[in-house]
Amino acid sequence: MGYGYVGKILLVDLTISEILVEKPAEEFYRQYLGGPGIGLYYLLKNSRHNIDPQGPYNTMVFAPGLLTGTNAPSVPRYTVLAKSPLTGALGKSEAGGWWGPELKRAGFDAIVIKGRAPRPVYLWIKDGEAEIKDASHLWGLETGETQETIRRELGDDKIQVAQIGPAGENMVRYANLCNNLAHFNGRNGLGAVMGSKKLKAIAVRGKRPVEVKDRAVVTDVLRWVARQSKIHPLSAALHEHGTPMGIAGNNAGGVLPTNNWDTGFFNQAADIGAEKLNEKYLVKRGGCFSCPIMCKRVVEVKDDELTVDRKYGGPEYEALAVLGSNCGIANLKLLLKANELCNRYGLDTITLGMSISFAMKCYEEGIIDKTQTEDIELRFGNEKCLLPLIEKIARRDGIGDILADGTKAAAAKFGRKSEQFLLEVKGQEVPMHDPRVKSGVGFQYALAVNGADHWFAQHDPFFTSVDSLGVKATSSIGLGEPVDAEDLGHRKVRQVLYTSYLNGVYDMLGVCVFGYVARSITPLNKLLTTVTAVTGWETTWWELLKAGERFLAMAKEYNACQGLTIADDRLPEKFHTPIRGGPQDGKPGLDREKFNEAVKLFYEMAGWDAGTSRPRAAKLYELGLDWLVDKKRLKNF
Amino acid sequence: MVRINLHSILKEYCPNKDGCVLIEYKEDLTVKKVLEVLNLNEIAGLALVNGKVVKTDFNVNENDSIELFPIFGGG
Repeated sequence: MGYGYVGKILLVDLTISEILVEKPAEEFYRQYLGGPGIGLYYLLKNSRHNIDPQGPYNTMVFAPGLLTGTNAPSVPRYTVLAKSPLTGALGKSEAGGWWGPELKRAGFDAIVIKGRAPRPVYLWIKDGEAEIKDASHLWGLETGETQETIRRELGDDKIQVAQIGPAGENMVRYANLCNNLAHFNGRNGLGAVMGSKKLKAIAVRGKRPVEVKDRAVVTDVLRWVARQSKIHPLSAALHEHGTPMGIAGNNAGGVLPTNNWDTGFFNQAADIGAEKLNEKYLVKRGGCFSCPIMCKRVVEVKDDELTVDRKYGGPEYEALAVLGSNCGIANLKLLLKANELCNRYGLDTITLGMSISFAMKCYEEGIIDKTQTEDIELRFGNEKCLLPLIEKIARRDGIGDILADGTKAAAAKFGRKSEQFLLEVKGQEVPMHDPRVKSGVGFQYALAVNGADHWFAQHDPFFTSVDSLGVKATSSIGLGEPVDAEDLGHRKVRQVLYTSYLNGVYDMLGVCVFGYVARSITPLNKLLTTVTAVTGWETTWWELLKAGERFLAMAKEYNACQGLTIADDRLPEKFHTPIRGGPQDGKPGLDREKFNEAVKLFYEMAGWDAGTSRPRAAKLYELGLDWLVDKKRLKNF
Repeated sequence: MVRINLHSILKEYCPNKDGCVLIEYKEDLTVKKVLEVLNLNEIAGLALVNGKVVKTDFNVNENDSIELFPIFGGG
């Protein structure tokens, strides 16, 4: 029995209905911590090369963070990992809510799932025991009904359910997972992997608290965060307005993606922002296990036209932008309904919105027409097409079947040079942040191991001046010098590298970026105090950042085994061309050559070989990953 | 005078409910100095002067109009 970690990993083989328990030693947890550290260990130990993402050899791991389930503040998260059917690279997505903590309380640090069930099943884990149960009566149900049915048939309304909706069952390549109907492992199509395994849900119930070494110290940190969260502007803003606050600012700055990124200024941005949301439809501010920030939106609509059920939570900035301005749609009520459908069917809002906007662009350009869209007028701003399209995509019906594979596959089917309208990296569509004003975000999109991702590292605006919160907060790990938001040089590369290690550690610990620096309030020294108080380890930020580096190296190795190379670490062409329209009209794109040189520099700094796109042997040895060194290729060691 | 409009959560830092502040123009007034006067240099993320996006070293002139938005990332 450990502190923070439990000491047990559940191994499930769905093909032969076998369940085993592995009990790693403490050293294992000190190396891999939790979350994607543990996840990649099992992914790499099981099968590695050129896996079929929808086949039985695509090992899938659910791993809460090392601190998840303790009373530490804002650490509710768990990571789900497998090969992504959307990108063909590592799929890795975190979610908050309550499922991760419950799994730890039920007695497991992770679940490793292999094979494929012969018919729909769900996993039931309770107080250290696990069984595979029939789910044929659940197959086809939306997320709300599934959760309700499972809780009812197992006789406990406190059961936490991680599940896929109909979109995952239909293997939509960007199907997501959810817990508590409003917390999502959103990106990379991990819901489709679960669907391919005929695994509908994992139900968990655990009554044993997660043990910590020094509870009083952890409680102290929790109290500090609870007090500060109401005072500090970053956390207060997250609570008051949530991420939708980004709509107004990004629009004013001319970087709110509009009409498939044709421009960055949307005339009706005020109609879809936080102020409107708060005024008309917000009914509650929700949160996650042990988090005082409570940044989640809970919305409700009840009128003759539309109803939106509050149990499905509410939209983030990404959903409002990608389905709103990015599709030319200004009807907030409709966007809330669209968000609800995504949550009921289990669809990643970002790839969904980008797939719709891409189809709209192709339609506007005459590349596709009504005969291919079942008469739906796919024009920017056409509100009538939004909900029917989401239904079609979730069910893989008609045009929905094409769009269900994402924009890259759709472009291959549409042909006629439609690929010029793509905005994806490694096959995953970019989120709603424009790299032309934040080069670090551009590096994140290009370098993130799981495709275009806006939390691979930290965001540039927090590091641009000596007064910046990020600069002050991370000076202790060597980032005390400000770097210009559009810098493409070595200082920016270092900033992205170090903050990618930091974010890696965050994921391995179960930390939510909305509770910790630089995006929010809890400083690094308090997190270190918490790790020591939970585990009893006399650890340091050196050791923790090395763990983050370890995760990154493992991810890189995994991707190389799937055939990815440095050529995949590039930006869509749009971001090398000027911004069009709005207050920053004409602002140049990121210099292509400098950007690509910087990517190469990142590899060198990280200790990765650009020729093989894998970590060098020396780096693997340094990180204690000797088991990943391909001795057949080595000459000198 | 220089007129500053505060948006979103920055309004909480405004003495007036409408989010509008007037400060006196001085020579060599930069956006950075404006932020310091208003105690917003940590949390302002975007500045527009007369409708144009500017960096903090931008020189503000008499009768200029400034819009300030909070820092934002992710979500």
